[in-house]
Amino acid sequence: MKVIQIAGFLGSGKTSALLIISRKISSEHKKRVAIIVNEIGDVPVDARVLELGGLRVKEIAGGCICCELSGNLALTLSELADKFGPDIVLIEPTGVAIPDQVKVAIGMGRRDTTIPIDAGPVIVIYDAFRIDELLSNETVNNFINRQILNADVVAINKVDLVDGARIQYCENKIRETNPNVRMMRISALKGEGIDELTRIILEEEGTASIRPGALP
Amino acid sequence: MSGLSHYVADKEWGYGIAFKLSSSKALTPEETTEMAREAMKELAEEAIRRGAIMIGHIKCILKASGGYVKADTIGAKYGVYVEAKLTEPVREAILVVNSIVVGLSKDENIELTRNLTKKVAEGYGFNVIILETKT
Repeated sequence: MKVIQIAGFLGSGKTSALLIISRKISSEHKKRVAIIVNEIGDVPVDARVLELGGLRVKEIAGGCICCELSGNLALTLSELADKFGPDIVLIEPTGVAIPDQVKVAIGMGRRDTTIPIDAGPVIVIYDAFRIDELLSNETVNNFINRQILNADVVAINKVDLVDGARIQYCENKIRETNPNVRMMRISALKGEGIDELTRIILEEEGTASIRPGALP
Repeated sequence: MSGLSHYVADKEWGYGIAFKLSSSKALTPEETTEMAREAMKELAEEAIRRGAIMIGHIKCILKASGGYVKADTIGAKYGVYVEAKLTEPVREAILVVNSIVVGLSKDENIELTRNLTKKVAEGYGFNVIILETKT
């Protein structure tokens, strides 16, 4: 069972990306997919949206899976492994979650099941459409940078809504934070770049860890 | 605000609420879709008017016997994205709203989300009952 988190700041397009990727993995690659959603606000919308898309969704509510509910994530993973046996588990953390801490929780899930759990790449969705507004606020900027530092792949989303210069600007900003991270361009709504992102999810292993200079 | 931890953001920025909507006169799918769009736009605009720094993500899903409407916005200036699959007029529906706003007090976000969503739905002729609310 391979576990992949699709992280990213609020409104970046995580749920849209997860929806199209999940469908592709199950219909085109014939693999069993389970989804774990953790959402701020506690009366969730994202899990309901994904279920309407015909997907199997496990919702973890009442807090953040990267800290206070990390035990719940570990338990959910081990239960999924034992009862449903998916090939792929996609995790959508909240928009302010810290990917490296989610990875720790995934590691805890490994201890409680006999089924091997492999950590796949950490995908961070990056919103090209309102990047100026996001980066103009120090707190939000810090959240986004921390996610970029923890990423294996940064998928610059909504490229259908911006021009090439704007995408280049995003790539430069990402490089300033994490010079070695892999970047790609996607439009979750239009399906652009999704085949390649799906291939990465299916074929590649996770490598990201907290790097020197990571924000506290 | 620069030192705000993700834990505090998780607790303070978001609010979710579910409503039951009912009406003696059925709304067309187009009217129902427009109601969802208007609620998202109004919530985003009013949050900024009240001093929010930015919209994190405001989203909703409306489910009725004839299908659903989902709508969301990252700020009124960016527009509202709407997807609707409604095959029949709507008399009853469940509407779930999740409002994540940066820089507005939790209490103000709660008050805003509850009352403004209710006001918009009532403007379309719905009777509105709060089903579930959590912070």
